[in-house]
Amino acid sequence: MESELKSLAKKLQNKEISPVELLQKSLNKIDLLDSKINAFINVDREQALEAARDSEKRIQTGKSLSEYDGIPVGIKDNIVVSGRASCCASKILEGFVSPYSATVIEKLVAKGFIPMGRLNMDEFAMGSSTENSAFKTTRNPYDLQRAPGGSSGGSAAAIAADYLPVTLGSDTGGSIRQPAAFTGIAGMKPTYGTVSRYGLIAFASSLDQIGPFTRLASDNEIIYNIIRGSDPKDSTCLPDASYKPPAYDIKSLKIGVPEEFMENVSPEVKKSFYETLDFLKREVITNGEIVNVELPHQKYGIAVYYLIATSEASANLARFDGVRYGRRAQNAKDLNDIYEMSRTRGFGSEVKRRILLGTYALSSGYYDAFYGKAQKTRALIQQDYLKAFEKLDLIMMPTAPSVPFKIGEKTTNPVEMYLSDVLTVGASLAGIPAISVPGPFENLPVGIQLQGNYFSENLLYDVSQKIQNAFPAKRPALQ
Amino acid sequence: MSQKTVTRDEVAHIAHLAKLNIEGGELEKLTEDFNQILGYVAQIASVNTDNVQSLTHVLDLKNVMREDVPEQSLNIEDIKKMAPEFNAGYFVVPRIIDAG
Repeated sequence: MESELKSLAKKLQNKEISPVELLQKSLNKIDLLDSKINAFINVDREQALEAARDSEKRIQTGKSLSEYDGIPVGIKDNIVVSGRASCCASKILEGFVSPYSATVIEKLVAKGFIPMGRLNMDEFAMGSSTENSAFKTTRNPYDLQRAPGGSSGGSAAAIAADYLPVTLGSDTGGSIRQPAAFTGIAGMKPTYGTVSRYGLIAFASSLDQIGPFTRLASDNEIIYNIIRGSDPKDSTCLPDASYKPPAYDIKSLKIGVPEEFMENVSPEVKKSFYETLDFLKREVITNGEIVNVELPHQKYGIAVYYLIATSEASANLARFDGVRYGRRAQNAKDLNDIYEMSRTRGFGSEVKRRILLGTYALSSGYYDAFYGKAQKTRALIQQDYLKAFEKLDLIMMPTAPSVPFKIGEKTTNPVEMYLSDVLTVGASLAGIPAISVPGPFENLPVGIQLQGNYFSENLLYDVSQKIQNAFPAKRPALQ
Repeated sequence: MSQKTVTRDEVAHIAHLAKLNIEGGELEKLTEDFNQILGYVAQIASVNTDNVQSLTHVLDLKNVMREDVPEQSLNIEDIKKMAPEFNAGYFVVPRIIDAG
């Protein structure tokens, strides 16, 4: 399939379309549809138009920053852009305007991309449906009664609705992959440490990674290669010299499938998944094989994830105290009042729930049984993967156990909502790369997840694009 | 780690530690959720982790150092713009120590 980014780049460079016209096309679609879909918290059109006009001048004077100069990219509301509001879809950060840009934004702007808008998300990226946003509920372009997934639901819906060609999201336990699966597009959670987290408002620092959403895996790879790289401002970002993508022969790939996880997967997801495997076996890995793989500790993934992520969140979110930035509650009598009232009024219920769980898991007397135990079990989950990758090139499983669920369907039971991440948290805990691409589907999208060893993004993209060529996703019928 | 039930008072205490004020119906609901979630995560007690080292960083990353060279940091005007209350280079909060 033809790269959308390459073809847009060609049109821009040949002056068939100008950056302002291209942006205007995006804005027109947003004006037409976003009152129904709610992907954007705010479009920030003036700032984007100004950047598009600058890009236009560069192209006209032969000073393009790259072949992609003038292409708009939508930004999740937890990635800061200088001079623009960012509030993690939370009331506590309402009105916060960042004085600096995230490293990923700097890298994209250096190539001439135009950062645009604030895409909706679950508050502080805590959720799997975008229903936890303090501002609005994003809807799935394939069925407006259904969730687009989360937490990067706005970023995913914006691509599915064809507003723009690229958006950025963040993934802590599945927040890029599950929304990509629910909206029939490609979403990558890169190897931990390959993309700088500087300027990503932290949720769980040992798990958070920024990654791109695009329709095609090949376009996703273009963006990934632009945003990755070491960064002195993020000490968990790996030195460039340690980035060693594997060499491989696609025909001889050995793919593992953890069959035991397939028991709790819905019939339509199962059908799509096995059809994809059949295709790969028949047409792609003609000298390779597909085998069962055992990941014995993966079944503890959700428990480990919710202990580690909430513990880190309880520490990370301590900075929101109403003193230095964000919203301060009025009528506070003393300093403690400022903290308590600002936080109590500023955070939504899921964020409070997770801060409480994290505080409990880290508290004296429970630390060893909860956080300590979770850290050790996390090591076992990672070891299972490392052992598997001694013999395998790839592990495949569905991204989510079901097709998109209905809005409101899982909001009353937190554990049930958490379990929608059951197939994605493993890769997050191990820090390995994982991508979701659409498999064959009838009405509602199904995501196929490919997980690889550290730095194997090249392989994941290659196989994903083969899947997309074989099963091009139907576009949602929107008016 | 048996299936210990956490009481409303305990949840209120944890909330206090986290500088959150949770009362009434919200406390009721959060206590219920809390016990449900703890009931679920308690399953990790059954994992054999004898002789397992905690995983604190997925890729064995060494501490990243840089030269100690002064760089431009945020300027005071930007910080002032972000702050709820700011005066003469300081964040303003209510009096902490009683005038004695």
